[in-house]
Amino acid sequence: MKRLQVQNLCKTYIVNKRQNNVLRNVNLVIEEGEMVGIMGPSGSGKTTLLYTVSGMDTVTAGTVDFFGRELSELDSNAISDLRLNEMGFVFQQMYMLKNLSIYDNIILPAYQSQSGKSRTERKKINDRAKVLMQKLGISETADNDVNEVSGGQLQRACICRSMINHPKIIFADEPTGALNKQNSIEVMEELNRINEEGTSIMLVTHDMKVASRCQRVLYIEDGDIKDEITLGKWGETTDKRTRERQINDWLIQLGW
Amino acid sequence: MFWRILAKDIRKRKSINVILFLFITIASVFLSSSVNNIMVVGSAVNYYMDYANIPDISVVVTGKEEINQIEDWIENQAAGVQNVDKESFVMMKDINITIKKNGKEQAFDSESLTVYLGSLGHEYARVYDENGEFFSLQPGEIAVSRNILEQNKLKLGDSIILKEGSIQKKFTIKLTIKDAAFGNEMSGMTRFIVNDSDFKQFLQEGKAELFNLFYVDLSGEKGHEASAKEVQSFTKELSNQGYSTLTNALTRSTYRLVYSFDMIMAALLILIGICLILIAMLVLRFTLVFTIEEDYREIGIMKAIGFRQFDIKKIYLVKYLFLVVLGALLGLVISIPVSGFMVDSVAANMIMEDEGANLWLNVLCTLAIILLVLLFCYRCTHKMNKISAIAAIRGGQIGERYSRKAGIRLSKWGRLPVPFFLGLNDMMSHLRRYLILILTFCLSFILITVPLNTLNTMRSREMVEKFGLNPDSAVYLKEIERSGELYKNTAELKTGMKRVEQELEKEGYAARLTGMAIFFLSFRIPDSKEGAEGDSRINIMTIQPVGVNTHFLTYQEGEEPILDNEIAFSRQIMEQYGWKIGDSVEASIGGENKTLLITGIYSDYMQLGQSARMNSKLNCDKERMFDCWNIMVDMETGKSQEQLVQELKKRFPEYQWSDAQEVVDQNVGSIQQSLDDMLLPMTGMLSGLIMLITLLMEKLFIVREKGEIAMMKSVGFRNRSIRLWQVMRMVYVAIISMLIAVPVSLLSNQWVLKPIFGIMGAEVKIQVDAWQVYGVYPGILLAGIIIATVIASRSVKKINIQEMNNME
Repeated sequence: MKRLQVQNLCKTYIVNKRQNNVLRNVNLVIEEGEMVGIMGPSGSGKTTLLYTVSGMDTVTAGTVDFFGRELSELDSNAISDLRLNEMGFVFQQMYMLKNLSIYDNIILPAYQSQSGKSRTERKKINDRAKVLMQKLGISETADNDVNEVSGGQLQRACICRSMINHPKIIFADEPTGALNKQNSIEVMEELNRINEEGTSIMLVTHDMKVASRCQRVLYIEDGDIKDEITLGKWGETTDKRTRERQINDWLIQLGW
Repeated sequence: MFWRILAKDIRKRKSINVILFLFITIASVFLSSSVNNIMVVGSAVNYYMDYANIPDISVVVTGKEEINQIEDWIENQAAGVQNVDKESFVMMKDINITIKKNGKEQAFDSESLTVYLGSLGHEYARVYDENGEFFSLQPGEIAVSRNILEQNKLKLGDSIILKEGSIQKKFTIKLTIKDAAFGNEMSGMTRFIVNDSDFKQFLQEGKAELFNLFYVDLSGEKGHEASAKEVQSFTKELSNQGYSTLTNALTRSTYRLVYSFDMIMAALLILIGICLILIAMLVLRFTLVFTIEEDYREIGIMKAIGFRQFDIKKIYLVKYLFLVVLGALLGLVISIPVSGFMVDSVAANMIMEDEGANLWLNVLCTLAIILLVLLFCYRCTHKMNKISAIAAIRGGQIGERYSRKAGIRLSKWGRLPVPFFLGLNDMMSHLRRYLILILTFCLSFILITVPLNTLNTMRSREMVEKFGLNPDSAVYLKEIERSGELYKNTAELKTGMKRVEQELEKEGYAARLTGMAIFFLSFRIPDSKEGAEGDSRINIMTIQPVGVNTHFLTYQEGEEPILDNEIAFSRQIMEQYGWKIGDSVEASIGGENKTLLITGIYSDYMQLGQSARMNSKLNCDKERMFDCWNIMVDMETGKSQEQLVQELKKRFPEYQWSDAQEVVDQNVGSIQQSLDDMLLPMTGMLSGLIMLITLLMEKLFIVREKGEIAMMKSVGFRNRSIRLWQVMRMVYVAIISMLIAVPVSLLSNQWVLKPIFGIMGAEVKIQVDAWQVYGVYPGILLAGIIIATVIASRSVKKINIQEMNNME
C-alpha cells in the first residue's frame, strides 16, 4: 500500500515503576502526497506519535504499516535503512554536525546511503544538493559552518538534508518552533512546495498558522486522536485566512 | 551541598572517575616508592663505601713479577699516598670449582663472573656477614655471596671443592657475605673467602694465577674522599711507570657507579610516574573544561544571583579534591609495602645504616602530587572567569566555540566511506582536542621502541665484532686450558689451540682456532711534541689475533695493521693522546722496544673503548699474555651456532662452548635477557595504559557527542556506522601519533641509545627492525586502542533519539 497506516498503536512508558500510557489505540492513515498536521495540548503524545510511526521509538502494541512494510517486523538495521532512504526528518532544533559545513551536512545522508558510490552517483548527489539549496535559497551558505548562519537558514538546510534521499515522507516536529515569524513563513512555504511535488509530510505543531497549511489536521489528546479536520490542499482550495479561521473554530470547539 | 554535588557527579560519570582515580593512585605509588628508593640507595651507597672502607684507588696488578717494584713505588715514590695496603687473590677458573650438594658433585656456574679466592683481615675493601658484622672462618670453611649461592641452588652446609695445581680442597659453606668491592654483579667479579691458612696453601701453589690489589688511600682520613684531581694525578703518574703487569686502577667513584645501576629501575618508575601524572593532569583538564562547558548556563545563573567566583569554583574543585586526595592517599598506602620491598632488595646487596624505608619521603611525595594536581585544576577553572551571566542566560549556549580550523570536505573526499571521513574530519578540525591521546600514544610507541632497538642492537653482528670477535665463526670457546694449565704467552696458547684442533679432528670436525691474545703493553711516542699528553709512557690493553682468522676486524679510518711493524688504536686512545694515522709509537714487547706505525682507527668495546690492535704477524711469544679473549672456532658444518654449541657441549663437555649471543651476554651482563623478559610485561602495561586512556577519552567524547549521535541515528545511521566513526577517529589519532613518534624514536636512538651504548666505549649503529618497530608492536598498541574504543562505544547503542535535546 502506498501510504502510512497506523492501527491500534499503543505506547507505554514505565517511569519509577509507574505505567504511563502515552498513546492509546491510535489509528491513522497518511496517504501518499498528503500533508497531515498533528495538534494537541502539551503532553498529549504528539511527538511520541511522530517518533513511533517513524521507527525512532518502538511501539508497545499495534502496527505501523510504512508504505507496505510493517515496522515491528523489521530489525533495528532495517529501520535505520528505512529512515535513511525513505524518511526525512525536520526538528524544532536545527540539529547538525558541528564539524561539517552546511553543504556537507546536507549531503551526509546521501553519501551514507550509497556506500561504494561511483563518481556519477556522487555527481548526482551533489547536483541534487545544489538544486535543493537553490530552491530553498541557501546556496550562498554552502561553505559556511553551522554557527555562521541564521536559524531560518539552518532550518532550511535541515529540510534540504531531509530531502536529499528522495524520502516518501517527511516527519517534522515543530519545524518553526525556534524561528521568528518571517523565517517560519519561509520554511512552511518550502514544506508546502515539497508536498506539492509529491512528498508526504507529517507535521507536529502548536501553531494554528502552520497547521492551516496542512491538508488535514488531527487533534490528539490523552494519547488518542479525538478529531480531525480536512482543509484540502494548500493553495488549491480556500484562501489562507479562511483556513486559519476554520482551524481556529475547530480548536475552540475542541476546548483548545 | 558539596557532598550532594560530589555524590551526583560521581554517579553521573562513574567510569571516568574510576579511571582518573586509578591514574592518580598508580602515579602516586610509582613516584612515592621510586623517589624513596633513589634517596635511600643514594645515601646507602656512600655509607656502604665508608663502612667497607673502600680506598680512594685500588691498583690492580696481575702475577708476581713486578709486585715488589710496584709496592715500592706506591709506598716510597708516589706523591700524596697517606696509607697503602696490599691484598692478593687467586683467580679461580670455573673448571677448577666443583659444588657438592645432596651428596652429588656438580659443575659450578659462576654466571659469567670471575671468581677470586681471598681471605679475611684486611683494612680495606672489607667483607661482612649478612648482618654487617665481622666474622671468622675455621679451616675448611668458605663464605660466598648470596648471588652465587642462589645461582647454584646451594644452601649453607653444602660444599665447594676448589682445585689449583696440585691442591684440591673441600670447603663447607658457612655463611653468605656482603662485599662492597666484589659483591655487585655489575662489577663482573665475585670472591670466595676462606680461612687464612687455607688461602696461603692456594697462594703458594706455583701455578696459581695471582690478582693483586694495592689499596691506596690519598686522603688519610676515614670517611673522607680524595679529590678527583688527586686521584687523576696519582693514576697518571702510575701509568708513566710503564709496569706491564699493571692492568687497572679502580677509583672509589667507579665502585659507586656500579651500585648506581640499582637505581635504574627506580628512575624508570619515576619517569613512568611523571608521565602518568602529566597524563592525569591533561585528562583532568579535559574533564574539567568539559564539565564547565556543560554547566555554562548554570554557572551564568549562579553568577547572576550573586555567587562569588571562588564559591562557584569550589563547587567544581571539590570533586577533584576528593578524587585526588583519595587516589593519592591510597597510592601512599600501597607505596609503603612497595618501598619496603624495593629497599629490601637493595639491603640484600648492601649494608645500610637504616634498613627501613624513610616513609616521610612517601608522605612528602604524596602531598606534592595532591598540591600540584589541585593547583593545576584550580588553574583550569579560570575558564569560568570568562563566562558572562547575561550571555549564558540569554544565549543558553555551552560556551564552546565551534570554529572548524582545517576540516575537510565530504564532497571532495566522497570516495571515503562516511564513517572514515567523519573520523578524519574530526581529527583535522580539532587536533588540539586529541593532544592527550597523541601524547600518550606517542610516548607509548617510543617507550616500546627503546628496549626493542636496544635488544636488536645487542643481538646484531656489529655488536659481536665490537667485542673483538668474528660473527661468522662457527662457535666460540671461553678457555681451552686444562685443569692446572695456565697459558702465559702466545706460544702456549698456540700449542693449546693445536691440541683442541686435533681433538676436534678426531671427532670429525675440521676446525681452525683463532685466539685473541690480550696484552697490557707499555707505549711511548718517540719525538713526541712538547707538552703533549703522549710525552709519557702509558699502558694500553692490546689484542692480537693468533691463528688463521685474523682479518675480520673493521676500521673507521685507515687500514688494518698487517705488517709486523703496524698497529691500530681505538678512537678514544687516538684522541686522548693526540695521535694520528701515520704516527709512530714505541712499545715495549717482551723486554724489547719496538717502533710501530699507526695504520688505522677503530671503535669497539674492548677495555671500555681504550685499546690497541696489534698486527697478527709480529711474534709476541716473549711478552707475558694477560689473558686470552674468547677463541673463535671456524669450520664448515652447515649448522647454526646454537645447534653446533649444543652438539659440541655434548661431545666435548670439558670446554665452555658458546654462540655469539652468549659471548655478548657474558660481556654486557644479563641486560639482554632482562630486556627480553621485560618486553612482554612492558608491552602489556603500555597497552593497558593506552587502553585506559582511550576508554576514558572515548567515553568523554561520547558524552559530548550524545546529541550529534542521536541526530545521526534519527537520519538513519546504523549503530555500527557510528561506532566505526568513533573507532576510525581513534585509528587516525594513533596513526598521527605514530607518524610523530617515528622521527622522535629515531632521534631517541641517536640521543639516548647511542650514548648509552657509548658508555661501554664505542659507537654502534642502532639496529631498527622495521617489521617489529613499525609493524608488530605498533600493531599491538593499535589493537589495544581499537578494542578500548569498541568497548567504550558500546554505549552508542544506548543513546536514543531523545538525546538530541542535549545538543545546543
